[in-house]
Amino acid sequence: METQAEKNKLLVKKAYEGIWIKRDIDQFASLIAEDITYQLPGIVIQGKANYLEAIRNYWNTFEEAQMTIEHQMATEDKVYTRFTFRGKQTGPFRDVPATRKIIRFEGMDLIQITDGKITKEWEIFDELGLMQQLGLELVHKEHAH
Amino acid sequence: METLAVKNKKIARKFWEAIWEERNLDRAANFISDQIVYHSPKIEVHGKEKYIALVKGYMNVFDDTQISIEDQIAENDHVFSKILFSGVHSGDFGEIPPTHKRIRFQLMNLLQFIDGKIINEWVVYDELGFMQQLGMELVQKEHAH
Repeated sequence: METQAEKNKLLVKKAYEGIWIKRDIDQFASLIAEDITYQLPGIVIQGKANYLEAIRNYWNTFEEAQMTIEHQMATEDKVYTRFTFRGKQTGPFRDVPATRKIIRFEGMDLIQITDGKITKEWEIFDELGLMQQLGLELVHKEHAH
Repeated sequence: METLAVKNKKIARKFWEAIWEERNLDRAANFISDQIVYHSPKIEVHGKEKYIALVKGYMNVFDDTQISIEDQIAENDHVFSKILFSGVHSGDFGEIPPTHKRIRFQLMNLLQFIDGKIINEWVVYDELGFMQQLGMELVQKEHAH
């Protein structure tokens, strides 16, 4: 018999597939709770509608996207994933207009599942690495104009 | 009986306490395999000696450090942790002189153990947020200097 942990892993795989392979917002929406919270360093997105909008923005930013699951573990109510993301930046990201560059970055993700729906997601990805690939660099504040 | 996963979780905690609370590298070294490989989005470090040199480098950057493990998932030989790091920036970090500010950033970490010792470590952290706290900012390359 499938354990709850295995079921949770499958749900997360299905969610990634819904987002990045099928680009099927309805399939994806059926997997998330109304009161979902999505947290990245410095960013908190609350509620299903805002979350789905964030996903649509990602779609607008990246084409030919590939989300590779490098490693995954699960418990009764949580799933952790280490991933590599690849895609072409065909739309604006933060303040950076489309570069049409192929980018690649790593990240980790922790998802909480309650009653078969995603209720919380915490994510850290190599945002600095991504921004550097998009042509930005870090400078001391006083040196920048 | 204690499972391997539970044992490894405890070792992970002890390991970070040794480095960031006790600041005892000799004690921390007991938990590291000679063949350890450290993987971050930007670097890969092979072997215990180089790994310890890397940790020592970070220890010289920060005083009064604390690690808070906010979540942890373990399965057999792997331990995933979601961590909040806090420390006072009291040493040179690359070209950035000490700001004496308290810095806080989030990280996610995956450890793999073999015979009670860490053999692989993968880390993603909020490097951009960290660098911004040190007074850096992202700019378009052509606009810099």
